[in-house]
Amino acid sequence: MQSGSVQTLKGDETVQVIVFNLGDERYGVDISQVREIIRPTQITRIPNAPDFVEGVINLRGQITTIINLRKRFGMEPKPIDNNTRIIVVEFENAVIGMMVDTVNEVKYLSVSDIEALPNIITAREEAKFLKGVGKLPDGLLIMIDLNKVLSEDEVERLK
Amino acid sequence: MEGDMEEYKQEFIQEAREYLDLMNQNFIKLENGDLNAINEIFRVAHTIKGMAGFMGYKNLEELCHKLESAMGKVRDGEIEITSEIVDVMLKAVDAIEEMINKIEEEDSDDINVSDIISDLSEFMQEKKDKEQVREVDLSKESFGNANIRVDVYLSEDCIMKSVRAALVVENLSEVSEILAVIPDENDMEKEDFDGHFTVFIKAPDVSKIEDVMSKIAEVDRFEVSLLEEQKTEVKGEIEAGEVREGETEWDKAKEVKEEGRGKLLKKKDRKFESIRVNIAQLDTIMNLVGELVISKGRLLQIATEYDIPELKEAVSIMDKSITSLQDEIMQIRMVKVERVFNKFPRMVRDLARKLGKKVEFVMEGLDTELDRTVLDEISDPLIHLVRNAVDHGIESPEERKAAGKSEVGRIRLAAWREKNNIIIELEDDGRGLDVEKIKQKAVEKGIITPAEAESMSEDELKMLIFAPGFSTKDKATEISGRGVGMDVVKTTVEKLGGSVRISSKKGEGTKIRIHLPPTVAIIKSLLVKVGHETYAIPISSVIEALYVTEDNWKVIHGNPFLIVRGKLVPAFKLRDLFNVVDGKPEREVGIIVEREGERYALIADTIAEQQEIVIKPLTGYLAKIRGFSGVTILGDGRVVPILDISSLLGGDRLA
Repeated sequence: MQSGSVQTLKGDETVQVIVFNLGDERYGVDISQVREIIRPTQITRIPNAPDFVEGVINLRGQITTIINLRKRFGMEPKPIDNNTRIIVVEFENAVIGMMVDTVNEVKYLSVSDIEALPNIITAREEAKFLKGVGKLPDGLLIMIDLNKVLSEDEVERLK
Repeated sequence: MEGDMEEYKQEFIQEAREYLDLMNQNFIKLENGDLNAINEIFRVAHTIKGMAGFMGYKNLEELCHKLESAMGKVRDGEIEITSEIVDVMLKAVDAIEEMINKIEEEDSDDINVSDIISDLSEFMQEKKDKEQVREVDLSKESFGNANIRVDVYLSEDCIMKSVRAALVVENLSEVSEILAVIPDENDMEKEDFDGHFTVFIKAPDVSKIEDVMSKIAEVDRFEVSLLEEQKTEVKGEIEAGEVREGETEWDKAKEVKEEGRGKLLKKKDRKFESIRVNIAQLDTIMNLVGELVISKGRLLQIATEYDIPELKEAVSIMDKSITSLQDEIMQIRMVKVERVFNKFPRMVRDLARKLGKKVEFVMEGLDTELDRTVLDEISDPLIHLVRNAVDHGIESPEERKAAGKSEVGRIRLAAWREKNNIIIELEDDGRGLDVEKIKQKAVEKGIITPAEAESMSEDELKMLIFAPGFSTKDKATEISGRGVGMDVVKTTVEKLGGSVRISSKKGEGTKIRIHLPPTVAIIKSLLVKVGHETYAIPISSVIEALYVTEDNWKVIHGNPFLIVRGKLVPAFKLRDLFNVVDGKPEREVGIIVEREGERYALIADTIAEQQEIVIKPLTGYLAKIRGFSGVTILGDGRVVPILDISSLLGGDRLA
């Protein structure tokens, strides 16, 4: 694992990526967009919220909306367990937490190693949140597009 | 100097905006025949000109100069006030505003105003032959009113003499009325300005002038001399003609200053009265107080849980301080409604002229205070309502005449405090609401069914104008059809915890009354339990709470009702509304709430307690969610949603 990150460090322009899992797939999100990673705390459900919204938590006095990334991606939900983590991101002045199965590591990825997804994939409903694919020595990493995952327009559209 | 300029820029912009407001108001007064307004506009234009010159915005300075000269002519009676002239001058005011905006964004006042300047010149041109006379009049008047002469000699080594001179004049204007500066500002700009200039002022006290002068740097020496009170005949005439008197004039000048609050260059002793505070900082303080309230709740809980009397006592003392602190900050956040109301006279005037209507616009209770957040939120809806009153409410002069009314329509906007509410009322004597037409339209638009239309009371039908997608005018006009609808008015007010009521008589007019809470951030609430979940209900909407047993229920037409002292109250089970599946207790509680004058019962499991809570808004996905106005954090850190009665009950069943 360690060697993997060192190897990719030599590229000209690199990004640091937080790698997390949903089911068997590995996903990545640019670390500059991530504020912190926390374990699930008591989540208050907000009735009538979109179904992928788990509720809100009190993150040191700040109300933080928690979304379930599995549900957001149209995957089967999974009960919270010891590995469950919440990736807290700042997006358009709002703080949002994304609940994921597990968070694995931080990797360096050369920008040139990130490829846009072929149209045939992005056109599919479940792939519309994806930004590209990162190539790592130990396999592929799907980069998610926070703009699409979190924007309200997208939510409006879903309704 | 550079750094100073940047520092002053923000203050300059803010002040210029305040002066613009003042200008707008006075133009409306002027058009309504209030000649005192001329002097104020003249003075304000002069002040902005001075500030612009000082800051180096030449374009702005020139435009203000033109406006000032034009006002001078109006003052001297050379130009008669007509709506056309006011139009041109208001355009100039708008251009000044545009420049200020541009200065804020790009630090440039580069806006093409040649049209306006030529229009202004045109009005002045008409009387060019009188130019000479005017100059004389002005100077006579200036010297006539002056009682003090200040001769200023700037230091030899003063680098920017003209700027320093402007500063001296500005400082003097804080304590006196400037009547003339010789040489004038334009001449000072010239290379050969030797640093000696004379200021003629009117002030009650020489010592104050000396005091101010002695504090200005780079002044080599100055001489303050008293002029003889010369009441010449010429001056007497001018005074009579313009309804001016020395003493009141001074007061007025002071008043203008006071309204402008902090000055570009502050007068020393006024610093103690008020300071400018960044709004964001005030919000932060408010949030911190909110956190304190939460922490206090937490401490109180611990004290109760572990039964520590000493801690309880300490908390209760702390509670007192926090409450005072909270009150104080609430007070600081209060602003007068005039901040928003002052835009309206100009707006009404422009609209009425555009639509060919005659409107008399009256405002009352301008110094009524509201929380800044509430006022900001309510601003757009009010604009919409006022526009609506002019556009839809007031009829054309012909129509009014035919109906036997005065040609001039009347719109009254009033604000006052009543118990714990702020009330804003907008009243017009226009055509009123046509209930039949509303009914027809609502059915056409599918807002209600024909059967519903027949069963609705007149008041209910009138409230339909606040329904989404409703507009009685066949065509959306440029004025009223601007996206913000009446429905937005209602939802905004209700979101703030207020209510809207409308009363209207066909042919006689419409009255819209808005009730608002003066503040929103911290409210008293009832915490109720539904299954394992806790919800907060604002106490302001709660009438009473009672236990509910099976006997209290009645189902009519599939809808549950609660019988409260023999009366049927529509009931909503929170358990069902929120899809709570936990076991239901044997005995539930009914919380009777009021919404738009109707009573409803919310059914919960138990009442946990009554508590002061801090509203935290929901953001992002949850911002527009129905049924909740936000959440709060309890003493133990739990997050609890706050019910918004109006949107919660605004569901399908009631529509």
